[in-house]
Amino acid sequence: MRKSIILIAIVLLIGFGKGQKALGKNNSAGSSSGQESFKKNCAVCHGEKGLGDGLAARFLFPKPRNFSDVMFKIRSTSSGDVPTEQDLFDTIKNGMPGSAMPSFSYLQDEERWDLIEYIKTLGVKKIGRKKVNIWKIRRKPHVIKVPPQPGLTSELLAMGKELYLDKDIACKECHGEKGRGDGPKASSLKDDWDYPTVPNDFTRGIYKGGGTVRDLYLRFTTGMAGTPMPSFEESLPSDKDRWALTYYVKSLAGKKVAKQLSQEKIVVKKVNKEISMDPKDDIWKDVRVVKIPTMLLWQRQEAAEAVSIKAIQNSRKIAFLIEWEDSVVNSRSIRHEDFTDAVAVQFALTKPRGHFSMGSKEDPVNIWQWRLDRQMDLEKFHDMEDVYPAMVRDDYQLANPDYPKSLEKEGHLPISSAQFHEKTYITGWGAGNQFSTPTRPRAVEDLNAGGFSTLEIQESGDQGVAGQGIWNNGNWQVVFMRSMKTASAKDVQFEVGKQVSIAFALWDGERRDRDGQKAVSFWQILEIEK
Amino acid sequence: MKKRMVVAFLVAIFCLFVLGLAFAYEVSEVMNGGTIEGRVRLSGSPPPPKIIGVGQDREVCGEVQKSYEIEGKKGGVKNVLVMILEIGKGKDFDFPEAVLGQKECMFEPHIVLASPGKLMLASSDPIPHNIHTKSIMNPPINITLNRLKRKSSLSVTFPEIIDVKCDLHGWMKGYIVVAEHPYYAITTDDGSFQLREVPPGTYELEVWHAKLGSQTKEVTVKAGRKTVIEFTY
Ligand code: HEC
Ligand code: HEC
Ligand SMILES: [Cu+2]
Repeated sequence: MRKSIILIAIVLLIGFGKGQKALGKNNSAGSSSGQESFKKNCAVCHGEKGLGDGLAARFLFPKPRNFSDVMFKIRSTSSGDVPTEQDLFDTIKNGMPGSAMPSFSYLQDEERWDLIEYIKTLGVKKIGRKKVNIWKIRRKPHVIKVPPQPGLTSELLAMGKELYLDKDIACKECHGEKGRGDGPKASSLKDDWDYPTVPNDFTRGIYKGGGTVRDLYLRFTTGMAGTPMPSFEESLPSDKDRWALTYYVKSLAGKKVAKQLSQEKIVVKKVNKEISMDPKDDIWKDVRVVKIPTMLLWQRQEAAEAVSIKAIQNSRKIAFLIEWEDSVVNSRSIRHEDFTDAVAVQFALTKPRGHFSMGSKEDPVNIWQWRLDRQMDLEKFHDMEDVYPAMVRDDYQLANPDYPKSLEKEGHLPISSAQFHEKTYITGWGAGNQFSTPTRPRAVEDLNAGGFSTLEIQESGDQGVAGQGIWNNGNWQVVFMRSMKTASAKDVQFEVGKQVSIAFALWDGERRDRDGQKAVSFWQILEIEK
Repeated sequence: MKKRMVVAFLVAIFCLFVLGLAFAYEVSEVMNGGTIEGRVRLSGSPPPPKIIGVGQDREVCGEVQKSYEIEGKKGGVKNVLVMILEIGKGKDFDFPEAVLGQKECMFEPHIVLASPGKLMLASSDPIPHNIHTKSIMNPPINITLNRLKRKSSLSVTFPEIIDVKCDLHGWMKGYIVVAEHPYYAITTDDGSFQLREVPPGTYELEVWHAKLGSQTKEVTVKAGRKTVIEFTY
């Protein structure tokens, strides 16, 4: 019985004693209500047991965290340390922009604390034959104190730029000369779970841990566990240097800072006129627009950051105008390497649990999907001028080789002709055979889903949703219209004075989006005005 | 002072109990210990190294990097970890001070043996490197070493084999072995190793190689004697 045992004893004493304290209030009630909330709000991505294997995980990059790993990117603590409870609280409240991790700002504080309590019970690994809760063996985290922030001066900014470009500090090796996330080392980086990972593109202003100067100061000081992003706590020790670098990095995005999604209310305005399918119709002029941020289910460098929604109804019909930024039109899904732009509106047929879903057995959904390629099939039978009489021709950006009008109509194959599609694309939202019908006289399909990969297209006779899209100067505008009420139990029904949960999904063909690879919003509330 | 030690000990026992971690090793004087001496051989010759073209940082890393998955001379395998699997009692740790170095864009040594405590980290290159560890029990870190910080340390408490990489140079890979007791060794160039002052008895001896995997053999150590053993991959 000598020194080393005592050493271990002391290390364990410190480690364990403090680990226990870090657990905070340790009531089991908190943990069991945390568990309930976790099942409801988090399990769809993080999995029932928090192993990062929820139903949605398949579609998500980066993957939802496996909480048994006890690895956290967003910390105020040294490399190797667990985050503070406040760090986790902030992450759950604000979400992680640039990933699928949503903001849970609508939860009560108490519920977030319960969730944290519960997450800490999930940090269990099997070591040999024993189960060990990693939280309990980590030391008490060393919290990095952020010193008072100096005022921004041009001198500080210049100094920051110099540090940023310093080869020995290495930011530019990964984040690139101009901060676009394209440094010489960028393409070969992998995270601890062996997935390729990309350095942040600073010009976009999307930060997982928040975009205040304090956030940025902490992020490179602490590093981001499980990623190539190292800690500079020791290798950039001067406060002044750190602030200079922080200001410079922040300046690369201008004023942009992405916020993670939360819930909005969309009011369907009552109009007393016929509703047309033309997105440019005056009827939309005075309708309040609600801008809803979208998140990527597939991490990449660019994506629409929001969709703008307007909604109207005239007692018989209801219509939505959906607008989003998309700098390139993609319609030629006829060739294997091409993908199409598309948008979908999703309605919950029940009151949805959680705020992200592709439907489940208990919470089925009704989906209206508009696809550019299908619309172009249609256009074969119309002239664009008939559909959009108000349109200025020169403005019409589809007048390029993609537009069937400039092709030989007789010999031109319908764009959705099955044999030319990539199989994965045909399956669309992961569905079955009905998708391979070569032509369909609709730009919009009325679909149902009861969980991932259970997408079903409704019978021909039930297909009652009309849709038209135009692309104008970098924006898509798509109108959806349907009767307020239908006879089908698979359809969402709209009643004056009632609320429906609604969500949106976007595919950008230029970015080769397809299937689960898309940008989505959370459930929003749709209220039908009297 | 004594009282404090007793408390520490009791707490340690308590922790061991609660955590269920096998820290059952006890240091005691070894009378009449024996020696295990051996070699790890490779049947056939080692595959040639992978040649990796260096893009950036050629001034320091050279034009190419040779990555040896299996290395060794005279039919032996280098960098094999050798350890007695379960041993309750024995000598105190006598490893040389463990330093994980970074030199000419390689981890040096490729596999470093550490007793529980602090492991020193040091870079002698004029360019930045990351030390990015992947561990479960011990805290996983990712830090940069550069001209402002050439040395650091990592606290390693629990027996574990830890992967180490540098994100800036994809070929830079290494291992930290945190030992549970002092009867651990790493084979030299020709695959040989030695474990000294082993209390007489019969043990399971395990060898582990990152690429070749592990093997175990039973070995009996007699008082004051040398036992010779050989492993072949
Ligand atoms: C839509 C899917 C989704 C849902 C729902 C979701 N998460 Fe996440 N979460 C993610 C993804 C993806 C990540 C990983 C992001 C990354 O690594 O960049 C993540 C990461 C996290 C992290 C790690 C933060 C860090 O510092 O690395 C925590 C904590 C977390 N989620 C908590 C929760 C909690 C609590 C809930 C439920 C209230 C929840 N998440 C619901 C997708 C989700
Ligand atoms: C070895 C490559 C590498 C180096 C060197 C590096 N980064 Fe990063 N950095 C990354 C990666 C990868 C991410 C994205 C991690 C993620 O989101 O999972 C990242 C993310 C970031 C973020 C985004 C934080 C957030 O909240 O999303 C900031 C800020 C940042 N790095 C700053 C820096 C600064 C400043 C330096 C230099 C002092 C630096 N990085 C050096 C790889 C690197
Ligand atoms: Cu390196």
